[in-house]
Amino acid sequence: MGTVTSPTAAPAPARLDRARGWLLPAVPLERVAVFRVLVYLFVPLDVLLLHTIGDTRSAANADLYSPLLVGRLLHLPVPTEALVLVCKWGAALLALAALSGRAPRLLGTAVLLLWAEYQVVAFSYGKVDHDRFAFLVALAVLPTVGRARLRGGGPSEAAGWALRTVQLAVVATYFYAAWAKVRFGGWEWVNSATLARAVDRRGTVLSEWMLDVPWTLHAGQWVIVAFELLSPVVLFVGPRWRARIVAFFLAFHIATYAGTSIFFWPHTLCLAAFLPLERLAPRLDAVVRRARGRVAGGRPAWTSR
Amino acid sequence: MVPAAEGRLSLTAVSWRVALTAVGALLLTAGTLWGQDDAWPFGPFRMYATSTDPSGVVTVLTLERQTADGTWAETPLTAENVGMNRAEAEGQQPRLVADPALLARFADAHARLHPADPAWAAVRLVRVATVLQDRRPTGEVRREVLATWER
Repeated sequence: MGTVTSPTAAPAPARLDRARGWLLPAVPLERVAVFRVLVYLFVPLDVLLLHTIGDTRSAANADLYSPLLVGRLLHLPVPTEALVLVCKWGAALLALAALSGRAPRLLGTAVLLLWAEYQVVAFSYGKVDHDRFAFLVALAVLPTVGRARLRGGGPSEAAGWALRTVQLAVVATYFYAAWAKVRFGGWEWVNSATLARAVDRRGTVLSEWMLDVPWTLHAGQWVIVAFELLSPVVLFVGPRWRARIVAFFLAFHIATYAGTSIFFWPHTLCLAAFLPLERLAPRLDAVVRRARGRVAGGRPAWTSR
Repeated sequence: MVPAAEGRLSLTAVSWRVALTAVGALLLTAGTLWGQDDAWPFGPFRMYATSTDPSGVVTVLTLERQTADGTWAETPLTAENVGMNRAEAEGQQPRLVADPALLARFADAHARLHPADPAWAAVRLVRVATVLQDRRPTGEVRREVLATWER
């Protein structure tokens, strides 16, 4: 890195170093530690409150089971009540255990498998949700980081790769969503009445007026495709623009929610992977310590060490 | 040369991470190009990806049930009510239309999820089409019964 190189004719090792610095940037371990807290707090929220559709599966009956490719390849069982309960409560409880930061690889892998199977169950009856890819990637890469504390971590390429991968998954969700529109709806998608369909089906008081002012929905379609195709820019800009673009993504999801009551919960949480989360680490650490102190103080001796 | 800094990964650790990223990207790209929804998690992100004709119709699938006294009434097409939601029933619409006996599963699921309710005598799938003219609903709504199951 000390030698002077011109950007046009960088020798191969320098270019490799730059690629490595991009895909595996050395970021503070505290950043991934905070992200991990967000992810593992979200898991119980998701399976117990937000996305509980797997629960009714055993009632839906095996006749309506329409397995995913992964279910057919791995011969996953037709969901039963027991399977659903194990996945749901297993994911929720082990995620809470993983919050402690102990046995990060073992607990993280278990949460990944249980949560993923709960999604597979939910999606095996004719409808797949598209807000979960980045979150699945987050659950898959977090165990690879290993130990990460909220205090005193230092820079880590393993942490940088995990967060970069989540960022890539977020951007892929936008960029490939535009691609899917071209594939299934054709380029005329931007001039179609798809948002009118969305509002007609799922409209709210905040959006139904737009059906009477059709150009607003028409313009919205152009904005959506433009931002989805341009989303990879967020991977190559400095911190200030990164924060602005992430704020735009968030605004888009809030507008979608206001207009159609569809919110991409797990995907939106993954936007945090773009932010300098380590700034939250000291405060979060203090909260954890206080909670731990209270637990230790109120419990008999077997919890103290 | 870069000194072996703190937090720097070994060549093996870098290699498998690069390989995993590449494999994930390839699978997702293939799924987006050629896959369908069942390729989850690598399927195409096709939320509202189809084009709706600005002067065509917007269709919504609804479920109606007949009670013992013979009256038809709409009942929520939700997982809490019949074990499946509207988007799922729409995803399996061709199957349900081809084999209306499958509608019995909706009645079964309702009975299991709401044992206190009286059993349904019959269930039917109704497509409700809202007619658009230049992206604006005209007010005309067409209802079409797609499939009926009777006990």
